[in-house]
Amino acid sequence: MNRPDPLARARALFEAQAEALEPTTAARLRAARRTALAEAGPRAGAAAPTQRWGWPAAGGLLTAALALLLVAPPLRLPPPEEAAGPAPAVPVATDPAVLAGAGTPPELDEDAAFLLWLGEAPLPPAKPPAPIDLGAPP
Amino acid sequence: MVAMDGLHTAPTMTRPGAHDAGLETMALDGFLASVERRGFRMAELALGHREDALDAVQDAMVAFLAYRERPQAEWPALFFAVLRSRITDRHRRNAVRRRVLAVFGRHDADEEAEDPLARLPDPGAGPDQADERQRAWSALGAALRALPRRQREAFLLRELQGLSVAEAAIAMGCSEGSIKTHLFRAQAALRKHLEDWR
Repeated sequence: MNRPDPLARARALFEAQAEALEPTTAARLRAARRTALAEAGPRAGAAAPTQRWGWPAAGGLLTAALALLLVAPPLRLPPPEEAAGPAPAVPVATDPAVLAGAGTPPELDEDAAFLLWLGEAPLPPAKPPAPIDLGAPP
Repeated sequence: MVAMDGLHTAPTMTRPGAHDAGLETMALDGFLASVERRGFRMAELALGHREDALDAVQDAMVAFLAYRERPQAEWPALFFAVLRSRITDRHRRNAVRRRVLAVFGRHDADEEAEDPLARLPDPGAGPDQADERQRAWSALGAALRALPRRQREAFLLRELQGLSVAEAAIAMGCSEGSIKTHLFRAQAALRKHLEDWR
């Protein structure tokens, strides 16, 4: 006897099972469908799947821009020396009288004799450095 | 090839304009109504668990609606692509759960926790006929779950859901040649598994 192909029987069984669904299961599937449609309702026609990624992307860009604004100004500041501007001008004597010592304060004149003596005083002979005592070897 | 009455009647509805949300919702409702039962049975065969199958179909419906802007002709392939992905996710999750429970030497009580009322047979069939059909259904599920995943998916999508080779390739994210290869191997394995059905 020619018996049906098992695959043909599997297909027929699948069709029969899909038609003859238990009432509770059919009701749950209906409820699931309505829930899914209700959840998706407010988005109807508003946002394609690719557009939905736009919000996180925009948020990311905004965050990056804010971070850049916070970080960039300190980076753009010149180094502290430059930030302080040009160094204050040190007065440089250009007057020949000042350069010749005419304007030397009197207290420096008093020290001049001492410094002259100090320069001419003989130096004591230099002593060689004392050897370091490492102690007896163990 | 199985005639896909329910599946192929819905997409023949005219595509509503994007602005006409009411018509679009009706079209989506009609399409989902046409695939929900078949999708559930496919998930049940693949997962072997009714509650998991219901959850997978519900997740797939929600996720599918993200593709509502696509042409209706693409909806069946897209829906079953999403459902296939959800089934795979649940397979992995269940495998991890079983491994974790096995470490602690516990049984997965959820596997057995089926609602007895939901298992009531179709009132149109006699008790013997319903019982035999249930046994055959369990045997088919066991044989399918014994197949490698890609072979099982190819068989479910192509043979049982009736998708074309091109649609099945979209749903599985592979070439049409791969679909044919997987399907050929699945058919050979199932003929062997279900030999006693002859």
